[in-house]
Amino acid sequence: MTALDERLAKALEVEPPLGDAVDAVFHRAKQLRRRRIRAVLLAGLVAIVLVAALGYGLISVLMPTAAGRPVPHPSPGGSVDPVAVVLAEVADLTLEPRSPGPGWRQYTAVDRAGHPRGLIVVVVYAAPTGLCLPVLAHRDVCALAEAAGDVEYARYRFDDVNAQVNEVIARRPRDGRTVAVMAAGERDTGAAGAGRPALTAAEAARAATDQRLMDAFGEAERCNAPAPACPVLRVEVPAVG
Amino acid sequence: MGDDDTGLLDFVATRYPQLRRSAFLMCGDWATADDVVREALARVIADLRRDGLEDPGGSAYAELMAAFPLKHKRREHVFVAPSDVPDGHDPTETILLLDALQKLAPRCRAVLVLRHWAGLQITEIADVLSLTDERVEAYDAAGCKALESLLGEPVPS
Repeated sequence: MTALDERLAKALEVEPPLGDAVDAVFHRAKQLRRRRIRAVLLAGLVAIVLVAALGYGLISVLMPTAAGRPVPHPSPGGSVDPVAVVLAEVADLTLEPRSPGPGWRQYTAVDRAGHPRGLIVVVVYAAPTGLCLPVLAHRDVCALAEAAGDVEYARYRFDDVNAQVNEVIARRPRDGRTVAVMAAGERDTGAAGAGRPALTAAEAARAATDQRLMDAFGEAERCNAPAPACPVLRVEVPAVG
Repeated sequence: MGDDDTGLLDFVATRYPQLRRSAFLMCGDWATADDVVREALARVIADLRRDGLEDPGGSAYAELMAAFPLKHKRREHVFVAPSDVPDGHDPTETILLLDALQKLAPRCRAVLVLRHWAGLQITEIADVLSLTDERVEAYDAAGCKALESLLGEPVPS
């Protein structure tokens, strides 16, 4: 033993009794174990919440229809109605389908607050040889069409407080498929807000020019005149060949 | 209590006094020493129960030393004689030694305590403090020299 060893040993000569030190160690070990288990569980919980939040965020970004929009009602056959899918993407609405027919679909619309927002009507036509989109003031004059991609279209707005309507007629020149989307607000409400249509003119245009909406109907479906069973639009699509 | 727990009980009962004295030399306070040793041994027990440890004794010293700040921190500490000193014991030398130890760099103090009180080998101290053998030897030599200067008498290493 060196001199330093001896001096250190001497410094420790007066030592307080140990008491229940050993029990205290095991008590501390038990507390430590509980703390570690809690920490592991908490970390797991945090990880699960993070993964769920991340997944939700990704779904919201990549699939806005699934996360942020009302899910369209399935058609009676059990498959999702592709027309309703497109409409639900352009406006935050709950759509209730009404009996459809060949070449047309109809939906009653309710907004997020639960207020009825009238009717949405979608009708398809075949106009392979061209179409004169009418001007409201002169029905025999063709409107200067707007374009969205390879689709040309015209918008129509009717602001009568008791019969507000937004309508868009769109035609795809390459095959002549023509779609009319009409959103008619609740009638005779006496208030501009209460009678506002379910789709703005811009939303109706987005829906009408969406290729998926045009392709949502069968090739043989059309409401070309004479078609007495098809709905009556505020702006009729001119007779086409 | 199972065989494992009996083994742990023996381990704690055997190691506690030695660790406690090492901790006291590191901090100069028995109450703090008790706290630090309890925490260190509790961690070792928890690790032993969970995964097992290759060298529980070494791990206990490593946990103990981890409780003391070993970097860039020298504390001025004034030691006073305890009130319950038995008759015939002169605390002056103890106080002077603790005072001198506290004036050393923390790593020097740790090396001196582990080598000259706990009796660990250079390689064991290197493992406990995560240092190289050469650094441990250098700290030992420097610590002894500094202690000699502080105490005013030779301290052979």
